[in-house]
Amino acid sequence: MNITKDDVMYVANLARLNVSDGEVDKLTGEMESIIDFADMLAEVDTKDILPTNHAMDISNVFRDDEIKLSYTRDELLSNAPSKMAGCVAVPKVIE
Amino acid sequence: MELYKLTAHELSDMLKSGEVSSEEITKSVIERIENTEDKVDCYITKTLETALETAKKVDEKRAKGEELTSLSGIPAAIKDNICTKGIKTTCASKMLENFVPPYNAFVTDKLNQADIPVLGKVNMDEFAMGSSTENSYFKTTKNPYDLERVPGGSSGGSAAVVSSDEAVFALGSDTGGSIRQPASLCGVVGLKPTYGLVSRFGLVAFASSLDQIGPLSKDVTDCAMVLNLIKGHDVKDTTSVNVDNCDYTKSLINDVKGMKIGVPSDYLGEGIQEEVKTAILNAIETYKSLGADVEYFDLKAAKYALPAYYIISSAEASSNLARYDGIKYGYRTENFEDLTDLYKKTRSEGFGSEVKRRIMLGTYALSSGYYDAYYKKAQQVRTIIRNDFENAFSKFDVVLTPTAPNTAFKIGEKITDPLTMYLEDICTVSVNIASLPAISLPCGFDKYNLPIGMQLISRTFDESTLFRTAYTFEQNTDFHTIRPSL
Repeated sequence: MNITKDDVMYVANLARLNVSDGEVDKLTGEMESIIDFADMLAEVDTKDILPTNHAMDISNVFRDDEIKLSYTRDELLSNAPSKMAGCVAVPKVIE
Repeated sequence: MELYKLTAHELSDMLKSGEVSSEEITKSVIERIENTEDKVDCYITKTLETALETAKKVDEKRAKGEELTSLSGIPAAIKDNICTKGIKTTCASKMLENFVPPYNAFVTDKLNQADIPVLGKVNMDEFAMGSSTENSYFKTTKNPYDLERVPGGSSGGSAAVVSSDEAVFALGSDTGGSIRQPASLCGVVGLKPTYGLVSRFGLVAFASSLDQIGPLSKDVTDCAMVLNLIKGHDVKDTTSVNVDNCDYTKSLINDVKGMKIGVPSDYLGEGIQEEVKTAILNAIETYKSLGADVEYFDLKAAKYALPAYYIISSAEASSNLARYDGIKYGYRTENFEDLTDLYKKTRSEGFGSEVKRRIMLGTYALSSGYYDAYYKKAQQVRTIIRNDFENAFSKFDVVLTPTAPNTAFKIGEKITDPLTMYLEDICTVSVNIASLPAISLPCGFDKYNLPIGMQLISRTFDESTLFRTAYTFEQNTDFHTIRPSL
């Protein structure tokens, strides 16, 4: 599978990652060799085979709609990089 | 005999008989850490004071005749991707360098309830991605058998800490071999339980359909004791399964007569170090001499497990690691123009190169136009691999393979080529793909005195057979008694 620098930049944008000019060649080469390796999967006959979507055969798990103890605001905000008025402070989201 | 050298079950007996106190044991291990840690470098965070306090509390409880477990007062280490309330949990990443969880993982609660002195959090490959612990943001842990070699990964710290006697046992996590391969390279026992047996609540997620927490220990008996402690249904993990109360120490029986062991010939072929093959062939002869029926068979889909694994695990990782956006917790970049710039800079600066590579791979495999060819295809191949194992288990009780294709390699040897590193997992990934349990135990040494591990795989929730088969091997050999000379 041929992976181009444009593919790499497109995927990087989807993944919200920056790829510098210095990094892009190396990353393109690495991704190409890994995807080439993964192309081996095309050899397998998977006609009529269902994909494994669940590791375990268990059905939806629900709990009763009861209020239970949760965490305090301070505990939840303890790792926030920036706080203001009891909330996480973030840059403007909506223009 | 120095206390730090002993196994958990030996120490447990001595505690029960009053021969030794938990404080003495913990002090012995702490002294060992002080003498050895600068050579091996296992710990990211040490909590030795708290460990000693827990040990003293256990001694007081014992003096009062209060109820204790068989592991109470025996000090352990925890891999740094398992949440410990109030103690930094970094996943060996800059992204979580200062992250202090406000909650305990299910397994951490289990250790605390059993009054296990927790010595600290140990090193790993960043976000559990790697097979050498060289991908840690902080440092590279050394193999106690040769300080110029890797301990394996991603639970390299957990394996090294047990191998060097800097903890009596440790918890690790395994997504594609991350408990078993380092256990093999460091000459200790490591178990990946059946998917769902141990709660993943509080385990920082890598690939949610493959991750499992498990024990690393000095022998099989210790492994069974630890699994007894950490297993269990957890309402907070909806993939954890309600299994009947099972005491794995009851499976520690020295008898494999009539047991049917299958060896996939595909795992003894090209790419496996000669000395590893020899050790496995010797192990097969040992089992035959003990009355087991051993037969070779074809695990046809074996060679497709590795590419399927890398597609599935990378895809799931790209989704799980999307949460690291610098907003609510973790690293946030200092200078940014807008929200998108914040995301991109935070993630590019916070993640190491292997993590970024896997996120890219996963995003690619899931993206429009490629989803069917890669992710869906890999999930179909996953079904085929599961079926292949099911067929194998209709004939065999246990499947035997090498754990790793080689012994410990030198630091820096494989880090430059990702694909070479990925091949380390060739014998272990199919187990996670099929959600099966597997154990690695020492079965030999190479000409450089580096440990070789044997992997045993059984049916889902049949850890009992694993323990019996592994215990029998241990009782009839002495590989597990050998420790590195540090």
